[in-house]
Amino acid sequence: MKEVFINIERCTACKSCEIACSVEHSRSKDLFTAISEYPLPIRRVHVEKALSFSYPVKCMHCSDAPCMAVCPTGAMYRDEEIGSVHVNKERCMGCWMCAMVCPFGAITADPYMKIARKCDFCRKKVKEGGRPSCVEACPTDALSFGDVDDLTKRKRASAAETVAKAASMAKEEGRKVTPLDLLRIIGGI
Amino acid sequence: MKIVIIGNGPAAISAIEAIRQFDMDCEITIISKEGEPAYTPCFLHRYVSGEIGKERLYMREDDFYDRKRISTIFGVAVTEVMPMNNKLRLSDGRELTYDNLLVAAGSMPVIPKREGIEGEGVFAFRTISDADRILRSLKESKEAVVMGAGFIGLEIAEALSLMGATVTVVEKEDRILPRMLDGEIAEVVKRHVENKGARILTGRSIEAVKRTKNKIKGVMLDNGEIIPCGMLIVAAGVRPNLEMLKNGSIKTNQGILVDDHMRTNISNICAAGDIAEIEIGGTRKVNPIHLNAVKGGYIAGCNIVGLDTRLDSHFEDMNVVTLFGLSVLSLGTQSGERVLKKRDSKGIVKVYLNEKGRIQGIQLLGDVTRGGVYLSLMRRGIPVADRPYTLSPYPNYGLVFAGIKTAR
Amino acid sequence: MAMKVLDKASQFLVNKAEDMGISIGINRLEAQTPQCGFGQLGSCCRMCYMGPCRIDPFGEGATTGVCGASVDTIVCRNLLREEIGGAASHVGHARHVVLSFKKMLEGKASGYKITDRDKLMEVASGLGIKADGKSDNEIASEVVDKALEDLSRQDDKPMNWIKLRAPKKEIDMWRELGILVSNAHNEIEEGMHRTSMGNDADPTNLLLACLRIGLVDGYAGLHMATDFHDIMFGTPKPRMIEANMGVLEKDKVNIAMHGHNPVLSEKILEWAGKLESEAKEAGATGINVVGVCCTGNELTMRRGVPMAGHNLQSELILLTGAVDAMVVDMQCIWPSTTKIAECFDTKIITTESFVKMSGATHIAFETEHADDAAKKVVKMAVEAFKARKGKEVSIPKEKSVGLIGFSVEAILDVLKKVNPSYPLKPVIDNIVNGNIYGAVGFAGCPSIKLRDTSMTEIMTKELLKNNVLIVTTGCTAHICAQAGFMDTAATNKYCGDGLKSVLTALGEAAGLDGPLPPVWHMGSCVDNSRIATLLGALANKLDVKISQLPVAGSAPELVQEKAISIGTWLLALGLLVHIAPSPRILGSSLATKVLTQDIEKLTGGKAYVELDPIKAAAGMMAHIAQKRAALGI
Repeated sequence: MKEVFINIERCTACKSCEIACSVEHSRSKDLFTAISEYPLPIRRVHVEKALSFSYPVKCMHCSDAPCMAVCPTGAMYRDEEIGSVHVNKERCMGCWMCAMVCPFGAITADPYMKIARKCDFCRKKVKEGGRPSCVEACPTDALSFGDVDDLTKRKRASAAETVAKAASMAKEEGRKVTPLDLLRIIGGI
Repeated sequence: MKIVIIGNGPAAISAIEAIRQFDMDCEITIISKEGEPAYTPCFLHRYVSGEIGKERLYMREDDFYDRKRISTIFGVAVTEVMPMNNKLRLSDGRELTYDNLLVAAGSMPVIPKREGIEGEGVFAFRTISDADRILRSLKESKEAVVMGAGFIGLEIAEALSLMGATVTVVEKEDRILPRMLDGEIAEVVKRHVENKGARILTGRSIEAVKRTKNKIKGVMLDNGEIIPCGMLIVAAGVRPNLEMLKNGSIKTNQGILVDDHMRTNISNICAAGDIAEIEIGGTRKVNPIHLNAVKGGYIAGCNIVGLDTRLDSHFEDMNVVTLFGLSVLSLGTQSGERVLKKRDSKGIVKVYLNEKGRIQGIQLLGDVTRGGVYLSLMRRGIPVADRPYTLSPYPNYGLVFAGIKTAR
Repeated sequence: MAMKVLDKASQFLVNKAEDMGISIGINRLEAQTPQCGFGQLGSCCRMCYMGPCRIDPFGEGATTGVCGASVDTIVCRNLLREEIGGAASHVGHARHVVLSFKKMLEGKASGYKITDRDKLMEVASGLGIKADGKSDNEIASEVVDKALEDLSRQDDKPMNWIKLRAPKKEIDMWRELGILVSNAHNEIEEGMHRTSMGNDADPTNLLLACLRIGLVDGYAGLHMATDFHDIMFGTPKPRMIEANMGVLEKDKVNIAMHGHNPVLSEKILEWAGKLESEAKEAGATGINVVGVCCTGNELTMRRGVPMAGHNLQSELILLTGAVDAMVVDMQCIWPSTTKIAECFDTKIITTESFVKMSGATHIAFETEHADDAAKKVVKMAVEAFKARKGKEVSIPKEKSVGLIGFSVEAILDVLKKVNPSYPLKPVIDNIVNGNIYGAVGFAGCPSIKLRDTSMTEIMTKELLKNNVLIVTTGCTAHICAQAGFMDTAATNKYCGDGLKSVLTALGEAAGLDGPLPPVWHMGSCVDNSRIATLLGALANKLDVKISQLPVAGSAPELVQEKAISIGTWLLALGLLVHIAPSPRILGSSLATKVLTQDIEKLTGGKAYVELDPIKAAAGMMAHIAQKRAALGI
């Protein structure tokens, strides 16, 4: 099952994902038209700032989603086909129980309907084989879309490279690899 | 395998879903003394105020029980549980056997002993039938007194106000929402509710219900004041519904004692939801919140079908309530070594910290949509005292991340 | 990767780029897509270091910048900065030409001369310079002084070139609006000052400043440049030319001139002729100078040099492998060209001290030593040919022919053959009787965002069908030439009956076998001045304002800041200006409303954004119909 991954080190706070999300959830799907729609579209990704980082906060579609567990009306449900979590707006009563337990702060209030709004995983696009709009919009790949296995495979490859670099560095200096070498390569120190 | 579930609330529904996730074949019977499919009491007040119809209260689609292959016995109470021979006695005289039993019978409203409290015109506010009775009574009288300014008391007060009634809420503690809020925030909410038209008296108790013949004419407070009214709604708290366990074979304290697997002292009997008193790491807690019921029911369901599942820790006290358009959210305990507070256009946030600078209580007023982020900060024990930007009604996940980074 | 569908010649080379793994604009656009919404809306402000500030178009985030600037202020400031970029380019271009001319008069640039004495006299008399008893050089140097005055005076008197070239009614209107500018450099400086942090925050005042910069661009840029070009190098006359990348020749030394300024390209062309023998010695059959972008327009208008391609094709033409040297001066030179040239034997030669690129060879082109430099450039091209000789090249076979060279003077010459005493009469009569329903000027660039939709071509066909005469300049002229619209055969193919009859009659009068082409090439992008001169003459004859004429302007494929400043000038002149894609103003509802509606009450002009070519043509037709109705015709 495909998921959206967030790489905090790559986020430059350009807010392209925010704009793309708003446009995706507009009626016209066109930026220039969307900005004058009423009601205005509501975005479901928010770029937030903390220390020296910025971070696109969005629903992670948790496998053990606390918002689903806590929802008293059953409005939060999972689309089993793509594994995403959705709000049924017919059932949502705006009690904010979901917001109370979401560790990401990914639930927003729809100011017009007073109910919960959240990332819908661009369900239609994803089911048609596309990528969510925020991922498409991200110029730095801070947001990426793919299989967990693919991601971890890439991570493994990069870890292997790190170790290999450390090993060759140590070899040149005629000694054994230490954890310190690995840290140096990763840039930790 | 024959599974019987007593009760038809969130714990029961959650247990059914857990069981059916793993086992579509076993036989499940659900017994509820109410005649309704599972519904949530969270929005009963909106039903009273006419904002929503009854159908919006139901937690699942109409065909839920059919789809999940559940036999339902609705409108019948369980009068006794007999663990010795794996049997239940029902109020209609029937007896029912089981292989596994889940007691998820919930809690009942507490009606304090007062002079004149027995009789018509006094209502609890817990079920759809309570709500329907209140609505009927509202046709005769537009004056109501609510005993207790917890969230249920205030929600029904709001609903009655919106229906045009004159409402007085009487709370014996010194503030409203005493289990959720500290004095300061409670005062803000109180003023908001009063501005919207409901009268609130704190630090007062109702001593007697005054009646003429059988009809309520008013209530008398501890200071002798008499508030005229045609109905009294009692919202003075709840207690686990333990009557069916009177033979004493299932161990109880305040609620049914269960371990972190939701098991009682009897191996084929579990309990979950408001009725359960869970013991984890030596602490016992009856936790009548929705999340606890859902999780407890899920864990019980998993264990019944043989999947070893447990609850790691007690849930924090948490609640969120919206009164006359103002949302207020409370997490944890509202006391501590230090207090951090911020007010801006989106609302108020107030955080109590312990001596290590970690959050132990949070109150949000206004924009509550980032409450979960605070919950996460609290659970992770991330110190926030030296982070002034934490204090916003809308902290963010980046903050949690940054917290983890520096905390380790 | 979904490739955009382009014209055949371009597509052929785009495919080659793909095969060779060379990155071109189309790939880079794809890598840049989707583009920043704040940028597109103009609602990102980088004027100070409390920012960058972005205003949330969806109202969920910030509504003002850190300093408190509203989105209207931010958008208008950004727009003004864009205009200043455009105007600075044109004024810089004009100044370069004037100073070259001045050096020539002072005897320091012997490679140049006064070519069109009539034009000099026309300009001098327009500027109020008395000719009596003065030598040509003396008159010319007074003209230069008048030009330099517009770049230096501090007395706030109206610009000489406005008085010279703008119609009186428009001058009066601008004076009333308080936008009658005096000194181009002051305006550019004040515009930068105005837009820096903590100055003008009144969006309306900022938009008026935009109009001021528009006038700077039009008169101290376009008109001044055109006038001096004509005086130095001659006023264009009609001639047949070839266009498209098929004009490259495998066996010749191909020199592609790219940029804007004829001061360089004329010299290179001259020396290419003189050094032909060296090319032959090197095994070539000759030297083939071709023009790219606006320098291509300048060369083709005056010398009939083939129009090899528009700005977007400046990359593609290199992919042929057949270009031996691409010689550039200023503006619209893509930094990518050197990267592509590296894959071939092509030399990229920069000539201006302020336009350098890594990977290019720089040969400083100073007018004092123009001949030396030009000689060096041509020799370098010949050397490059030696390296290329015998190698495979990929020259597309597409080329089209066209009749071009429609300067105002040339148009009047044709018209004089119909009515010697009142040359504009045939045009006016045919406008009145509806044979010419109206006229539209197409200017600007090929946009990589709209090229695959054939925006310009479809609009042109729609308008011609409806008897709208089209004049064009700049890279749009390349597009039209390549599409065959400048071929005399296009008249019968595309025009409505009315326009067809007029063009046929004019063609006969001009002594051609067939009709005039329906799209008239009036020059480079600075030569939008020629269009304004023609409109001014028409309005003057009819005693109306330009805004009352049944005409419109269009930059159908906006790319450059220069198009924004030209467009604003046209707004000030009272024209409907169609533009696509949208300028970066939509973030401000105020700026959008003022520029697309309210400004009409002030100048008679307004901006019109439409990305669909059919709808855009229809919109312009509706505007023309409205103007005709108001004139009672």
